[in-house]
Amino acid sequence: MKSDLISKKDLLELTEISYGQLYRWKRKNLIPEEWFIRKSTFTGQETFFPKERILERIGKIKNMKGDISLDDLANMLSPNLMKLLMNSEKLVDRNIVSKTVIDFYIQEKGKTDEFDFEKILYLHILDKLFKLGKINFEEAIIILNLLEENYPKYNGKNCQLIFIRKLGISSSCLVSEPSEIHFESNTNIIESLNISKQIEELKIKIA
Amino acid sequence: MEPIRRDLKIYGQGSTSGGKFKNVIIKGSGIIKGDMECVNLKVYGDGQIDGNLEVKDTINIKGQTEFNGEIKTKNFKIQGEVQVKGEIFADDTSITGNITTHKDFNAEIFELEGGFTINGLLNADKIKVNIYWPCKVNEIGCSEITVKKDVKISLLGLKDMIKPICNNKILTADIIEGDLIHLENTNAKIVRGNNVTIGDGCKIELIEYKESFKKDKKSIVDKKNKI
Repeated sequence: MKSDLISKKDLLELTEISYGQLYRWKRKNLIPEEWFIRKSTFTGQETFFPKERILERIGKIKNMKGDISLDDLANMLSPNLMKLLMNSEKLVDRNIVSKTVIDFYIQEKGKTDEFDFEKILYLHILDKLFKLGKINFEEAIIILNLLEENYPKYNGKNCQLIFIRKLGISSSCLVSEPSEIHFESNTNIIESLNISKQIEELKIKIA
Repeated sequence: MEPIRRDLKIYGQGSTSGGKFKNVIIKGSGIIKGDMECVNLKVYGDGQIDGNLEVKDTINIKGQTEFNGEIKTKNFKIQGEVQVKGEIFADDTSITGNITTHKDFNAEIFELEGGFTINGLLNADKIKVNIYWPCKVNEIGCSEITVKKDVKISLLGLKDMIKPICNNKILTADIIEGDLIHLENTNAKIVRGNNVTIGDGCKIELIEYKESFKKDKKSIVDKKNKI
């Protein structure tokens, strides 16, 4: 029982944070309410946390809090750590992605029963591009492969998906943000999408 | 584009279903039966809000108000008596009077003169309490807390003159956790902190501290541990 939980006291000692910080992060929703598990012990009531998840989360907060505000951090952290699995019917039922995209995915990648958050994100992006009429099926394969191969390398950092076409030949790339990128004049930028914005959109759809 | 927000004024007695407004003023007695979003809310007299409330700037209450939903606001000023059923999220809270909540109270700054009953966690960065009437809370989490018994001369002391039986000016809590803790007239089961100062009139079962600990002679501490 104790192995996967950590008491508040041990946590503060291990991570070298103060009560003030812990409670501030809780107020800002950086640490979800569900992680505060109250149990009675021989010294009275104690609060415990799921060890692995809280340590990972606090490590992330400590690493990132210098660069951006706590509010932004709260927004960024929640989708990345969203652990969920959904089957295809549910995705279609709840209108998260269209059936066409799921059929396309299954046709390309073989039968898939459950989709995790990352896959849903890819489907969401493809769905969006399809609906905007920016890409065809062949181009969707390019983007899907690109995302599947390279997006995990960003490790949750923000990046931009750029889709270009030159003289009828299409290509796509991922660029970390913020960066400047220039193409020669014959190249048309068909679409550029901010991935973390897509995550936020998707999060709202799922919630 | 967002539609133009209008003011809502209830002078005398009235009720409305809620909605989005700029400034909401109730002078007299007003009931808002649904969710409301506004920039400023003022209640002089008697108010009741049944839905969730989101205020961009300030809630100012002089009199008595009952909130039956959740509250989100920047400034929360109360002079009088307030009851809240939902959770509260505020930046700056200053209360003169009495507040009763059924869920957690989240704030950056929490200043209170009077009494409170919080059935849940009081989670704030800085907490300052002057006790005039009984205070009860399940848990307090903060970075700085100062609890003091009443100051001699104050308007709130009038109630004592009329009703001198009101002699239990004590804050009761299960757990108090913070970095800097200063307590007077407090009964608590557990107090955990870095720097803990216990003034007079305290009864504490267990204290766990990291750096410093000071205690008044008149207070009772059953057990203390340095971590």
